[in-house]
Amino acid sequence: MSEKLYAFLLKLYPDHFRRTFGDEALRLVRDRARSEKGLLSGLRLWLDLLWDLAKSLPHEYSNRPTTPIVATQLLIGERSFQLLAERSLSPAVLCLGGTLSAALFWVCVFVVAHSGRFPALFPVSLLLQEQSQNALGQVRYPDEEESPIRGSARNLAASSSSGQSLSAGVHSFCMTAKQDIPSNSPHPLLAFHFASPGASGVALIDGKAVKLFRYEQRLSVRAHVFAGNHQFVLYLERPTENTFVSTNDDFEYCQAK
Amino acid sequence: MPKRKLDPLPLAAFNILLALAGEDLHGYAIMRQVEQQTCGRVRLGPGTLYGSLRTLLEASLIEELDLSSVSEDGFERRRYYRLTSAGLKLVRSEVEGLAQILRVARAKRILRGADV
Repeated sequence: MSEKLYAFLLKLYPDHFRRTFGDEALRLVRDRARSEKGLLSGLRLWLDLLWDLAKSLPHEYSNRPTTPIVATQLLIGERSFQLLAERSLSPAVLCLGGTLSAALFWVCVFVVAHSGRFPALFPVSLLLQEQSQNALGQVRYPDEEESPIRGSARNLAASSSSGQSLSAGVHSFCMTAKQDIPSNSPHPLLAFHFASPGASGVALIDGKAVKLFRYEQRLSVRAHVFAGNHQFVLYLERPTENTFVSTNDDFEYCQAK
Repeated sequence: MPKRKLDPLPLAAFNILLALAGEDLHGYAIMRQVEQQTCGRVRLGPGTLYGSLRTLLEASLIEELDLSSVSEDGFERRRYYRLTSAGLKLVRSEVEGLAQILRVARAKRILRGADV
């Protein structure tokens, strides 16, 4: 019984330990179980085994055996793959891996952040944004047709509620005016609040350019719109961080079907 | 790598070397010998015992005997371990170090009893 239980616990040890000493360890437990009979002795045996398991398991996983890599195949001119299961990764390899990962990460960040300056990178940026949104489980409209423009609209809708960065490029989305809104309304149709000044761009409502009013760190859209749905297109020249979008109370995002 | 693992020499490894100083032993016998030489205070479990044996083998402080040279009634063969000259040298220096500490302790009248 003890041997069977310990055979199960032995599976917790790394493969190299079980291969080399598995049978011997089982035999030792068997010998101890035979010589230490009785309730108290059995209890002491299992306390020993469990304590030993807790002590030796981390040690076995942290100290892999140091087996030399045999390079005979390389010497005779044949290429071969070496299994790394028995070798711990050297600090140099870990440093190299870390550096490459960091470099790749910053390249992705650069592509996303500067896609507005480099039009060739714009599709890559959209692709990365799409994938990150899907991974994070953000807003998705399954019945919508997939397109880069729709992706940008979702991005803007998400940023309006949580103050995220607004990427450079084209953002297109649908807005609904509950009633006619005059251009001299006390509240602009849309206002983009940025963390730093200098943001600029172009806005179109139903294909017609409308003026963007800049005031400090805010760009406001003022225009006369009739009640109903309107297509709103915003083009930003460069990405802006911590964007917050506010709307006129009578001008809201179209509801997803 | 093995030198780093054995510097300082862990208690389990020291007791195993000491147990093997007298004769060649297999795993279970090493465990019993260690238990006996420490008056029951140290009972090596399989994980600690064989982990230590592997470390000592890597450091060439012990060696495994050729299985063909050990026969045990036909059906079961045990792996026997033997102390190497390097292992003997290491355990001797460790014991001498402990003896020096013991002398200091005696001089300072820290220890009591006839056996010390």
